[in-house]
Amino acid sequence: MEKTTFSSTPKRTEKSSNAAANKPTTSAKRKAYDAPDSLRSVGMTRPKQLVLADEKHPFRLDSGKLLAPMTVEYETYGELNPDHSNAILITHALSGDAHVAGWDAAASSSFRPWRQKRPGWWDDVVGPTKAIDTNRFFVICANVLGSCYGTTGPSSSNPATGRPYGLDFPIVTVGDWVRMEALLLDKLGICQLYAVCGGSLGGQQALEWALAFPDRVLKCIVLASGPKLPAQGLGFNAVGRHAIMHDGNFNNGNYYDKGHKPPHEGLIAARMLAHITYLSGQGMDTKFGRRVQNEHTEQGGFNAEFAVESYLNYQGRSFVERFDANSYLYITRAMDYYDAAALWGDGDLVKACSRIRAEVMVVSFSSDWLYPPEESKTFVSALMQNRIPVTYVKVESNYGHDAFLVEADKVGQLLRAFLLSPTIARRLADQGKGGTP
Amino acid sequence: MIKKRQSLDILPGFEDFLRQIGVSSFDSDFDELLKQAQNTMQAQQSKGSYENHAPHRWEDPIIAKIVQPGETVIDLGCGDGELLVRLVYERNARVQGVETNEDAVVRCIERGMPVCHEDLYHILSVVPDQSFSYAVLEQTLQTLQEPLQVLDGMLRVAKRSIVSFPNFAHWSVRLAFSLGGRMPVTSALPHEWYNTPNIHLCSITDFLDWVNKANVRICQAWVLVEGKVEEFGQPNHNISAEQAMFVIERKTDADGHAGKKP
Repeated sequence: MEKTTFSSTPKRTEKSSNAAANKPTTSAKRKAYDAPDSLRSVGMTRPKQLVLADEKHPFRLDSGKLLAPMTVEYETYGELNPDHSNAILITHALSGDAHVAGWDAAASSSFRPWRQKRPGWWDDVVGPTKAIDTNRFFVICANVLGSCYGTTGPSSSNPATGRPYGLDFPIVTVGDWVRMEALLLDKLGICQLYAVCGGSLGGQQALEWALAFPDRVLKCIVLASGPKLPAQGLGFNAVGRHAIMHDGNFNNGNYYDKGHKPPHEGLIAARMLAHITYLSGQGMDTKFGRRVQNEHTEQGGFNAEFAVESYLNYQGRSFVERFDANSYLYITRAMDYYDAAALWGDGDLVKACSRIRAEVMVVSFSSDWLYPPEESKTFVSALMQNRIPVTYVKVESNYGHDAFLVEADKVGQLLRAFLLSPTIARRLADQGKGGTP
Repeated sequence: MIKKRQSLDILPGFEDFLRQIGVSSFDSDFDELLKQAQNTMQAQQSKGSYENHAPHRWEDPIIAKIVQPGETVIDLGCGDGELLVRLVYERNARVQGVETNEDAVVRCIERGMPVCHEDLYHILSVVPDQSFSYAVLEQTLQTLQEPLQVLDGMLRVAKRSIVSFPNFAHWSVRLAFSLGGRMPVTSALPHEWYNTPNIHLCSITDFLDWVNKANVRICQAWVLVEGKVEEFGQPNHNISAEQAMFVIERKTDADGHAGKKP
């Protein structure tokens, strides 16, 4: 029984190419981005917006509250085929956005300047001839509700007051996001998705899609995620929110006025902590060890000295330039609340999974401690206990939770195989259950 | 199964001596072994050399005939999904693969075969009772740390189980060890002692002993003799068969037994 391990030689270990003054020198060289005129790039992209709910037809949230207006920002790549059967929905993670691939033509030095420096967050995987091949598939990604990248969120204007919502924004859930995405697909004329695919919090959305709309998804891909966030993750999120809400500038979420400083230090702390949870202990030792970034002064002190400190500082500081603290609160809460078993099976995951009709591929990463492989396995077991065929792969990687982005070659290989494979198993599963609905 | 050579009685006390050194039963005699080797030698002499390679995956066509359209199959150690593809296309079966080799897993995914990259023990611990029509274990039994645990698990999750393995009592193995004095390396057992994945080898007779003890019934069985498939049943198959495949199931109360083994 010979064991071949996946080669883990990712080209990218540092997600930013931002040449800020305090940029840590530890960042490894990544392979060059595909330029907009590259044959492998989707090229220049433009965010699109749609109003999905208004005063007349408000959007009912899981909390029971009504939201209006509701605008969604989304991007699409590739062409929808005549019978609308080649659509793939990509669902993004906590700090992600709808800009999955290519270069944002709308970005400028005053509007989302960070997008001028790098392509979309999954450009390694999405594009012509790439794993999610935009020559073949019509790819859609929508920014989630409560975020700060164009879809309605706490920084949007509250029609009742004419000022940003702040903490008056209602609590949103993964279920709300999926129903919003379904509304968007209705508008785009897509009845059934060929596939839904996401990692981390995006993986929870992909799973929720298969549960909430079993007949609208043919293939469901869940990366580095699970049917619920384990207690350890709940704990991390709590610390992050605490840091934000106890920042002196938080002002109960009302910090959008001119002259008022946002709670940047709190958000930085939250992001620094979160970044540790995205790596693995061994990965951090390999990448940083105890290497010193700035020499110790003779007396010692508390400035960033170790490379790992410098790296986390850098990650925190660059994050506040592009993310809203209130959005961080809302999205981590949605992540906390998501529990597939409670939503669809009265607490029983096996019962919940009996709804699923999509072909499912679950991928976990050996050193992921935010959504550990055991969490993925509970989902795989629940499917098996329903006698639903399932594909599960555990990728050996030192990159922790981040592996689903960093191990782009490995993940790409699995995505390509799963997306291009015939859908026999699905057809047979339907026969076994006594016909399609 | 116990059948001993008459000539054992010629040497007074020899049988008792054999028992003392651990030979507890005789499935065949030495004449039979020599006859088998001689026959094979004569048959192969015209070809110039002895070749006895099993046809690649000789079990697959038989399994594809056993499985009826629409039945469900879990293949434990499914490799690159060759059997699964065959069952899906030829028999419209609903299949699930289990495989630990990652390259093989990717190949299964490419072919559209659902596969779990997970060890057998874990899978067998989560699959509910009688979920599948068949559980298949091809050429893997002898590599398992806990073969009986896996056999029991298979009998639990599937109505019938299909198990194939190399016969360690094949005449070539016997001669290689008894005359050569070395761990046998044959076409069915191509590894050296230090790199073999086979840690729990058994003979057909050993397997039948387990069947008798384990409240299990043999539904059908085949053996591979000199590269050709035969239905199992000849008394000398434990000498002549290089490989064997059994379709087994748990005995039920209806079989006249007091009940399931705990």
